[in-house]
Amino acid sequence: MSMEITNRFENDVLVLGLDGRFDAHAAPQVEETFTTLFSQGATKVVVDFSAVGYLSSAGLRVLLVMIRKLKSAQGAIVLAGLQPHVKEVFDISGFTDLFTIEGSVQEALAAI
Amino acid sequence: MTKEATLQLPADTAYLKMIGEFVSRMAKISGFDDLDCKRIEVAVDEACTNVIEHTQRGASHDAFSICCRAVASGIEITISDRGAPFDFDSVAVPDVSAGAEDRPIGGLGIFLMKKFMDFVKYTPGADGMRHLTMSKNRPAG
Repeated sequence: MSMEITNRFENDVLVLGLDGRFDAHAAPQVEETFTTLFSQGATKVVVDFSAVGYLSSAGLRVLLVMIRKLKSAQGAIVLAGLQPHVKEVFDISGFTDLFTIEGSVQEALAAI
Repeated sequence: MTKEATLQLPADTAYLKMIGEFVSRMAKISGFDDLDCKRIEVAVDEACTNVIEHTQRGASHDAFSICCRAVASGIEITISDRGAPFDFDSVAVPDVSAGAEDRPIGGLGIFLMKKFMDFVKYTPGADGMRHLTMSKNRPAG
C-alpha cells in the first residue's frame, strides 16, 4: 500500500486522514474509501493532508470527483494541512480556488 | 562529469513510488533543492502514469525505461516505451480557472510536466520505441 487511509466522524463530519504519496497508485484506494462512505451518507468531509508529502494529477482527479459528488448532495469539503509541495501543485492547477483550505483539522472542522 | 542511471520497469502503478525515489535521488545528485526534486518527480510520475495507463498490465517486465542524466546545466531525463507515436503539443491546455463543474476530469498531467520542466519533447525512435525527453536547468546562483 502506498497510502494509509483512516476515517473517523466528528459529529456529522467525516475526517479522512491520508498518509503517504497521493499518486496514481493511491488514487483508486482514496476514491473507493470516499465513495463507500459517501454512499453511506457522509456529505461533510474534512481531508487531512498533513501527512501527504507528494501529490500528482491522479490525486487532483480524485479530489475533483469528491467535490462534485459532495456539491451535488448539498455537502461540503474542506482540506487541511497542505505541505508546500502539495500547495504548489494546487496553486498551479487552479485547485486553490476550488477548495476551502485550512491549516489544521481543527480549523477545518470549525470552517465546515 | 556526467552521472547517468537507468531503471527498466513493468507497467504497474505499484512502481511509481520507486520511480519517485529514483528520480528524486538523481535530481538531488544533479544539485536541485528539495522543492525542485519534487517538481521533477511529479513531471516524471505524470509521464510514467500515462505510459502505464496505456500499456497492458503485466504485458512485460520491461515495458518502459527511465534514464536520468546529471549534466552541467541540471538534469536530463528520457522515458522510453513502445507506445504509438503521440502528438504531445496537440493536447489542449486545461483551463485552470474553470470551476469544479466545468473542468474535465483529468488532463492536468501534461500541463504539470510542462510547468515543472524547462523542456519536454516526444521523439519517435528509429528503434520502434517512443522517447519522451525532458530537462530542467538548475536555478542560477
